[in-house]
Amino acid sequence: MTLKIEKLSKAINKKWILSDLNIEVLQSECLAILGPSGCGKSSTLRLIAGLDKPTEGRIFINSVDVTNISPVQRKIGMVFQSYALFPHLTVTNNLSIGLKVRGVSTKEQKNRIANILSVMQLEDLADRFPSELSGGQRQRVALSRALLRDPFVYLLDEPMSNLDAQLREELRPQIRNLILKKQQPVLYVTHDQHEAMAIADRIAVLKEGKLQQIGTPQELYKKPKSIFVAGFIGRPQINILPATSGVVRAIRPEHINIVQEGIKCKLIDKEWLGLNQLLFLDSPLGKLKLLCGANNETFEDIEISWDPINEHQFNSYSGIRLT
Amino acid sequence: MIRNKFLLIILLLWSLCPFFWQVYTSFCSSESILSPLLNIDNRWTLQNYIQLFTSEPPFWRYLLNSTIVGTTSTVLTLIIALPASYALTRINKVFATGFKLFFFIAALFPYVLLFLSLLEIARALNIGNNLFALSLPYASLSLPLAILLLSAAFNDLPKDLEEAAKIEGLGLFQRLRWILIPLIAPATASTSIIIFLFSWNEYPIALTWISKPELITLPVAIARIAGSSVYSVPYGAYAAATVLGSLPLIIIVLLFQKQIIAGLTQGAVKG
Repeated sequence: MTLKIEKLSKAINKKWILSDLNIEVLQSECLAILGPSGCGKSSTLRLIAGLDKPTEGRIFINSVDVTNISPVQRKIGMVFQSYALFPHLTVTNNLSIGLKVRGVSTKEQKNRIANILSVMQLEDLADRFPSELSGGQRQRVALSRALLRDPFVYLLDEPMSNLDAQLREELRPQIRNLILKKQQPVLYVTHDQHEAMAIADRIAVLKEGKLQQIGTPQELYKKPKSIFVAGFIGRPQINILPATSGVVRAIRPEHINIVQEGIKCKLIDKEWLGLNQLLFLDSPLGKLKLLCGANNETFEDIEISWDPINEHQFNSYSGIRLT
Repeated sequence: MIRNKFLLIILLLWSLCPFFWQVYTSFCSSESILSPLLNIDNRWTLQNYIQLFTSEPPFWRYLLNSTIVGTTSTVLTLIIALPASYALTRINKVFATGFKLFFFIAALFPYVLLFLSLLEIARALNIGNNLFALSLPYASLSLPLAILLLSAAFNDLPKDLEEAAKIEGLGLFQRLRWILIPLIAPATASTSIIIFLFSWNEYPIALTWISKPELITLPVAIARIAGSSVYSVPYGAYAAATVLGSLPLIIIVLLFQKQIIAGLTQGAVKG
């Protein structure tokens, strides 16, 4: 099963919110669409789901052109950011209503729902209403609904953005086990680069409706194509040095070393992060962040340097990577 | 807090006082109504109520008539208003605003100006003296307001819910039947009450469309009681009739008060 979008574009009121997007997601691959809010990532998902019509371009599911067919026929399993559980129906009825209208027999409905409830550890909550569930439980019901759809493609729209950090960490392996290990391609929309790197096989970075770069998390981290991608991928954020003769240099905080003789800096502030500590430095090149071991002794006067291999260089006008 | 409660109690007494006075009057004999301060032996009586139920036709007949008209017009209005208001939230914004403005003007239009022409219509179609026919003008007069209220409720529903239903495979009527209409139940309840109330209280159309004594509705009947004698006003019977006429409404509101309050406050807080 595959998903392919070709030259997908969408304009609202003559303003392009998505232009010329080409993406292919392979069988059992998870592609994260990453970008700041308003970059067109949710719009992309809505176009694929068939909730909106593209202005231009085509969408293929299993090599079949689905651009002009209804959401139902596209057979899509979608998890909404708000979960979109039906508030007046119990968990069981939330799950059964779709099966019912798709003509699944009552007996099979029961079996499949019982099965998914036990997989999701929701058996005890079967008769509760969504308002009586916690955020994490609602999320699991929403996932169950998408799984029961038996879809060709999974579309997850910021499925964890309403959960606290601890819950996200718990749910991530669950999502991976339940959805990502299946045959279907998965499109995972998020604004959280950490989540994208943790869950996706490849990441597509979007900005203002345009694809900036698509590649594995490692590629994006090691060879960001533009200053925007460099700044978006990797935390703490990359240091961008002032432009000199049309070239912007950038170095990640984890690639700066403390040395005996190098660039002289002043330590302004530091954050202890457990394994590491993050130093805020005032250098002749401007303010810099440096990530070093938690046990490193720090002094007010620090000298730093870095391996030129780890340095990224960009064109200062276009922001595009050089070399 | 205490001061607030005190104010609430005053407000409550202020609004309920006329009703209590009416209840009190309905149990008084006619002499005691006219001289409330005198010490009269037989002040309390059930005579007013007995009189209502022994007259021909008995008073419960009017209650039944009004209930029939009220229920039919409410159901009729909802059957048209629910799909119409859903459509209003899905069509082009410019058209929707135009329609809403039109309905708003229609809702504000003094319908009394229409009753002569409505009477002509009833005469031409020969549908006078028919309770079900009477619900036709009631439904059409209630429609504008009902559509406005219900479309506001549809608008307040998160879009995600309908989209999720679409993806799940529910067609338009299934979405309306299983998802959207159940979700706006509070708004539907409060709208129904408003429609029912209008039809329950309506006087000029009811007066002109219905002439058979056994078919007249409550307001017309009460007016007839009040004007039944040339020389005196039968305050006691009049009061008893208004008390009986308002009881069904009070019962409905008490039964549905949760939904009504939820419906009236809908849109105040976005969920």
